[in-house]
Amino acid sequence: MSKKILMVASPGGHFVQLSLLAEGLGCHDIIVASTYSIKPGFMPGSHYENIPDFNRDSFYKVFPALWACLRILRKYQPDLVVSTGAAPGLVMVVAAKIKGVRAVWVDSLANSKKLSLSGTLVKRLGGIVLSQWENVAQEEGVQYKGRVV
Amino acid sequence: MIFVTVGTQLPFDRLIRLVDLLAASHETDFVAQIGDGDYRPEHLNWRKFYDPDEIEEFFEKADVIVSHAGMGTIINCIRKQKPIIIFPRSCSYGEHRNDHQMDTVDGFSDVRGVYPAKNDEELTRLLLEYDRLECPNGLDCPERRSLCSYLLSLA
Repeated sequence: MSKKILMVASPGGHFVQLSLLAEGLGCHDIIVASTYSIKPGFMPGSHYENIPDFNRDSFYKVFPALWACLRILRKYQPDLVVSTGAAPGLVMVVAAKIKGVRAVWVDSLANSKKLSLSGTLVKRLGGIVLSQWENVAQEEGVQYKGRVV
Repeated sequence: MIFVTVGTQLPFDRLIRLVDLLAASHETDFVAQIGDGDYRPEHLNWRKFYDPDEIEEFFEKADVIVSHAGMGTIINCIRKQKPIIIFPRSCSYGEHRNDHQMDTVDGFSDVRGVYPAKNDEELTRLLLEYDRLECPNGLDCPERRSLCSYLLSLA
């Protein structure tokens, strides 16, 4: 049975890692959300939704982002949310928690020594957190289930 | 042929300057995309920017790629199974606002065919041995299949 998977990442390296996961998820229904204005061509997925951009310096902008995430979750009702980071992914995971949708945080490949701040927050919220490094997973008490490359 | 790229967003004169110096006495040809840099190479074929099709052709023809630590370029080289030497931008040289390129380098530290060069000496050594560098295995790997399998099991 085809599953609906909502995939979220910020532009750049996080998004490239997300695309590598999407390629490996086969023919399930993939919805992509990010702060790009349109979906980059290399990313699989049948639908694309924009999340308003924000970062640590403009933290008040998190509210429009959260609102957008709740709207996206309501519209698509995905079976699973997957994020490879960073801030927009964190907001979507929080929104998923609010709505009772299962969400997985895949910490970036670049975090080879310890979990990212966002990953730690998701862990504190009781979300599923994966590290792409076995030693990090062991030290931080999260899971290692593989890596994107 | 060795293809050098600094990416499309920022210059990276320190890398171009070093490669130019090494190219002077190197046996092979170099082509470089130098971006909005100020330094003008003397021993490389160079342009500030090339078209995507030209870049694609350089990637196909190159024996080795030398690049800033941009994840898109690294993934592309793994996909095409071309050895890549990655030279990160550094915050301490004012080349970037933080050291996330160094983190990216760490992220690929044990991937076959991806060679981190964190300083001039490492880059020099790798370029001298360029014809002995290994090719990446390609993007498909059991670790990714395993991770995707796990994600699907949760859906």
